[in-house]
Amino acid sequence: MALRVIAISVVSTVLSFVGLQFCTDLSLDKLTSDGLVGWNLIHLDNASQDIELPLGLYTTIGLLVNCMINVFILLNLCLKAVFFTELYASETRKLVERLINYVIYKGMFLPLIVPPTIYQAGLWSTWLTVLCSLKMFQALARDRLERLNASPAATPWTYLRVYSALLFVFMVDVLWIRFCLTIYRTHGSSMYLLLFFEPFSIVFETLQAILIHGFQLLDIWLHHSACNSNDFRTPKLLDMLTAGSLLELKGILIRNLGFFLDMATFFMALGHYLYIWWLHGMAFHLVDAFIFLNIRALLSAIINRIKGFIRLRIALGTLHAALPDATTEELRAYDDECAICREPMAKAKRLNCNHLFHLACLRSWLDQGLTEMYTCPTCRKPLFAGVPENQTNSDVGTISSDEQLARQISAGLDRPNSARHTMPAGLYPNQTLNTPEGVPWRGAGLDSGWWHSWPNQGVDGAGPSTAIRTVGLGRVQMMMRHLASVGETYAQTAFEDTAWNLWPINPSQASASGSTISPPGGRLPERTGSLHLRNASQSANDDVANILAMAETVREVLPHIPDDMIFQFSKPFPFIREILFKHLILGMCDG
Amino acid sequence: MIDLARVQKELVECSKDAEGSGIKVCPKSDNLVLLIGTIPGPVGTPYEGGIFQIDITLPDGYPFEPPKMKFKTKVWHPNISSQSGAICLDILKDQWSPALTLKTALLSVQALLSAPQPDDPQDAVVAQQYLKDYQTFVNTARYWTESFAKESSRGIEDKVQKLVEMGFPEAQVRSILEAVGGDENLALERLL
Repeated sequence: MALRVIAISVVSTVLSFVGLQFCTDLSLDKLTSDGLVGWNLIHLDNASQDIELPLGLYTTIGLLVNCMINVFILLNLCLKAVFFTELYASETRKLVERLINYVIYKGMFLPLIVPPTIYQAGLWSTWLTVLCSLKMFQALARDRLERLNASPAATPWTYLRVYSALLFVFMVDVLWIRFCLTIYRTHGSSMYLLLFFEPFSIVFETLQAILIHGFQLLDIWLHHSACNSNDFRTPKLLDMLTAGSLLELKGILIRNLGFFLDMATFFMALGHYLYIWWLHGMAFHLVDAFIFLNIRALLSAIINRIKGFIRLRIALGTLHAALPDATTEELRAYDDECAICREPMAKAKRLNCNHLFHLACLRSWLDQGLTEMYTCPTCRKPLFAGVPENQTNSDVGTISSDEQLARQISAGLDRPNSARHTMPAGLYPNQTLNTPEGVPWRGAGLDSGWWHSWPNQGVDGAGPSTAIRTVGLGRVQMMMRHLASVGETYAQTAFEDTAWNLWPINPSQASASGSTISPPGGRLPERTGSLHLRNASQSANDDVANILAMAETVREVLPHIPDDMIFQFSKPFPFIREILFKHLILGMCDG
Repeated sequence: MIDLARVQKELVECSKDAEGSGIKVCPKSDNLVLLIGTIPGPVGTPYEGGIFQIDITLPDGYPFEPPKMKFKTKVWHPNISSQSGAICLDILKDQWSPALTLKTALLSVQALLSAPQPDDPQDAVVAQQYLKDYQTFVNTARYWTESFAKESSRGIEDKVQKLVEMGFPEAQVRSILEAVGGDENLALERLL
């Protein structure tokens, strides 16, 4: 009954508006006869007046319109009962608001462009009324479907009945577009192009609702079937793959096709207003200000939608590139649902902790940003902290033999030489390749003083034994670092022990040199690099031979070589002998 | 937008295991946003034998945001407010994970009843009593359990009896009473 009253009010408003249009636009000569027509339309039930009027045709038209209006109202009431059975109070209130907004925004501009004739008024009023009904039914269907989706008591049949309203609106709209096309071809005027914008807008909007709620209906139906057929056990893998693929397809379709349909809806609405403005002569009157406000609101909505879509694509792309895809074997071995949405997985992203999730679920989890550091939802391990370990593993793969290790050392030596040749003679480039980085410092002042003594002696033209000792020390530390990078526990321990073993010699060296000045922290690597580079240029070949020999010696120490052989190899370098002796002790302890 | 498919699956899972664990979750009305959780008091604690009801509200960002939970039954516990029922539990705040569910959250609340954390209190008075006068704390907690948690359970039994005597089926009466949070008048309106 409420809907009936609303519909009657709308029609009366339109008729009053048309009558007002007649009174204001008619010329003086036609005032009498057209006034009678308007008066006659308003007072349809006055039989005595009808008899007195000389124009019988207008009476017939008036009665025909009245009859059509009543039929239309009856049709709307029947359709409402079929699809929605009973409206909630909130739905009724929203319906009234939408109805008023739609009539105002879509109907108030028509008098600007429509010629003031009975035929035109009837045509455009019918057009507006039909579209208004379609729009209201579509909005009611979407509201009801959202409510059913949030209700645990929803049955597939209930959902399907309301979903049918969307399909019905779509079909009627398509038929209406076909009818408008017929009118356009009949008259051929450019004004009738305005008939198409709003129906197409409703088509695209309804298609989007059909898409989204179609998947919801499918989910409810599958869920209902699963509950009913507990006895029948279908193959689990097939169910997982099918449902997972459906879920991925649903996400892709809703994301991309939904965006396209949204854009189409917006552009049809924008075209509607722009075309009205064009038909109105591209003027800038007060009435046009309302058109501009509508256009501005639509443009703002379009821009926001495009920005949101672009942001979503960028986020998905970034996440897609950062995490590896799970292979089919991994998915089958995992044999579990996504822990976030509890749906089967046809495609998934694998985290470094070997847990699998949907890409969309991971994106939503990262978008929340509840914690400063992004973690795995299952085990709370940091998401992206494992990347260096992967690189380390790849490095391990490349170093597969001792020959490659030696080749790398040779390459490291050759690079500074080639770099120096391209430089002027008097300039030493800052080469940090040979700098022993990562050596733990114990006691800044004392350690710095000791470390400073070596470069000073080298620069001052000390004996060749001192220079060779410095070069050998650097090479050994570099080898230790390479061994440590391989990831073996023993090499790591040896490297640390080597660093620790350097410091007992420190006091004697410091007292011998007598130098206690501590150089700036930033300049020390530079100075050491220059020294190493200069020494390397003088005796590159000898260094390579020595390094290979020392590598062989260190390698032989690991399987517990006898002492006499160690002493033979390390006799020219007393300092190295102590290091090797320490390695031997460590080897014995491990054995 | 709440992931309603996941919430429905969680409710099904909770109802399957309700007999074993005693933990139940059911909708408060005709939507999945407002829920009522029920947990039994852990054995060997002052809360043993009590039935505690917890109000659950799912935010729009669920399961990527934690559910909002608070005790509807009055409880004497250092980490639960004796006035408002607010719960101080890290997984309901910054340590939430989308892999957790309503059931695991309620299990964590039940574990909190077994192992109070007075160093990080929600109720300072209860925490101080727990630290300084443990025996009085135990007696007070047991008294509150007897007064509120068991009375609530006994009250529900009485209401079930009344409504069953009116001629309604017992299973339906119990489910509707749980749904409306023990309000007899609301249950009667819904049964009619």
